[in-house]
Amino acid sequence: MSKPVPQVILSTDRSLMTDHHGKEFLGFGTTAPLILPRKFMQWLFCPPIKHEDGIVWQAPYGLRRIEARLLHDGINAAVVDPDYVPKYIERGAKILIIRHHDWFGLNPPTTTWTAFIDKEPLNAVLFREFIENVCKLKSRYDFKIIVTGPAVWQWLHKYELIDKYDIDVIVDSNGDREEIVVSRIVRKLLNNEPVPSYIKIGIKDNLTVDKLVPIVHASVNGLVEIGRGCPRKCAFCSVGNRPVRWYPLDFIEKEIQVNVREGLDHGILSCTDVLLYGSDTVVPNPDAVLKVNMLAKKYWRQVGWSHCTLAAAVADKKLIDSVTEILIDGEHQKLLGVEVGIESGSVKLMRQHMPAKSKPFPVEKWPEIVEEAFALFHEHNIVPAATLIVGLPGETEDDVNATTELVRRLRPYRSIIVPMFFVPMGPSRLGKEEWFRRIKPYHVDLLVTCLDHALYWAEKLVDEYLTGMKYAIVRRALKWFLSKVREYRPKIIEKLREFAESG
Amino acid sequence: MKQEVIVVTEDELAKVEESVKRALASGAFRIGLVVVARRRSRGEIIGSLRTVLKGNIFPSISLWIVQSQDEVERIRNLNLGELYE
Repeated sequence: MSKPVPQVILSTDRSLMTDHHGKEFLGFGTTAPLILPRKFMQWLFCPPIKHEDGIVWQAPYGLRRIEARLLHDGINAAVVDPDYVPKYIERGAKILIIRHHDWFGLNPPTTTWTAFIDKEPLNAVLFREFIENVCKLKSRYDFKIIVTGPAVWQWLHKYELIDKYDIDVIVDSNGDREEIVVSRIVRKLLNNEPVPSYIKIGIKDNLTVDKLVPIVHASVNGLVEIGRGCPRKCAFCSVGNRPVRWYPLDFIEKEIQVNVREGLDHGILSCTDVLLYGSDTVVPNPDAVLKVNMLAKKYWRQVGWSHCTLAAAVADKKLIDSVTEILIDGEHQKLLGVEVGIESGSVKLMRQHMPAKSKPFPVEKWPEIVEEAFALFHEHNIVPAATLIVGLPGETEDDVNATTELVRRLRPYRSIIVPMFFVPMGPSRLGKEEWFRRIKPYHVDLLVTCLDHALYWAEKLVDEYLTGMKYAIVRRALKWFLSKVREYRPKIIEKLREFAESG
Repeated sequence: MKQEVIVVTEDELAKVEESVKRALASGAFRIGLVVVARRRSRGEIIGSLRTVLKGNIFPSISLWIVQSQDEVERIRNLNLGELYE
């Protein structure tokens, strides 16, 4: 007997419904504009995921969370490969839930590229094709579309597409309580009750840990969330508006076990700062951090961290010794990748927009903290992928030059540094500021310094990051991609200068 | 949590930001915003409310776009908390 068709299907486009060859960092490539043949870029950065009749093996964690909540609430739901969405709608699915991080290519990495390269980003192309394919079915089948996720504010800038694609409900949750709200909306739609067209979840409606429902199927690259919120409350960021909540170890273990049971031998601990797991302050709680990492390493050969902060690393250097001793075993794992925020080398801008980022150290020490943390990471085989924000409100030439100088000083340390143009993201305190779109000549120095830093280290890291026969072809392809970027370097600089002068 | 329902027509969207501020000041954290619209599309109304919906971190806002007074009354009588709990 065949299984009943899920009433509710969850999906997203190929840029997210992929495991990026098992290497999360390759996912950043989906934000790049189509500078090389599309088929090549799509294969390199977001190959299709394994599935059975469209039911995917791994899916983005946010979709898994909603799926788990729907199943918990007695609603038949499943995450479906984007290529199979029409098939499930034809079979009778009544609601399609789509979640995305960057619907129209408006988020920081994407807008940075597309500001001076006149090509559409891969992720935006993939989403457009996916949604156009889906909305064609609206005239033939009776189903509703819910869009959700932390980046739905982008629909407010592309509101004409709400009508064009006939979106029924937009859930603006910034991740918090999203699964509960979506489940309530789904129930109402299934009962033909009225629903709001747009729902925004405010800061007081945050998710309490007791309401969590663990995922029931594997997440992309085994990513499991270990907490939400951030104590540093930087003005540009939306996450810090929420209170800090750390998930208990038994909850985290359940989600790791789900991933292991479904065949993943590697995973990622995700939160705003893994080094602050279990802490009520901005100083690490070493016992808690070691416990959560030991737990992960008990199940996985390779463990990654989504994010940590540089100040927390410097605040407890011994912890870095101990935690890397647990994770970097030299056999299955030689490096530990993590995203960190430098954001600026200017003390003035740090004080203005993110005075707590340096805590427990004074903000005046920020550039020194960054250097110290990078040196510490280098010594311990931690590879940071760091972000910078270009064009923060109030930025001057001196601020940019201070950042450029800092990036130059970081050259000896194994890392990638990615400059991102300031984007007034949805629910951040800077959410109503102007977008940064026009670079000035002094920005060119910073962008080129970052490009050179990235090329220098990426070329060295490819062999260490993509080890073994399994990755032989991807390794070769990535090296070719990097060689092309190096080849285009003079043109990129020329284009940046033209762009800066035209501004 | 205290809830409040704000009702406006599609021609009064400019008033909404002020009304939301007043509702917040009176202690409401869940706001039902009902727009009675017969001409403007859903997308146009949502787009017009961008300054209210984006960057406001405090209230939970549910935006209902309706065509008739009956629908307004139906939403007025809803427990908005049901959407979040």
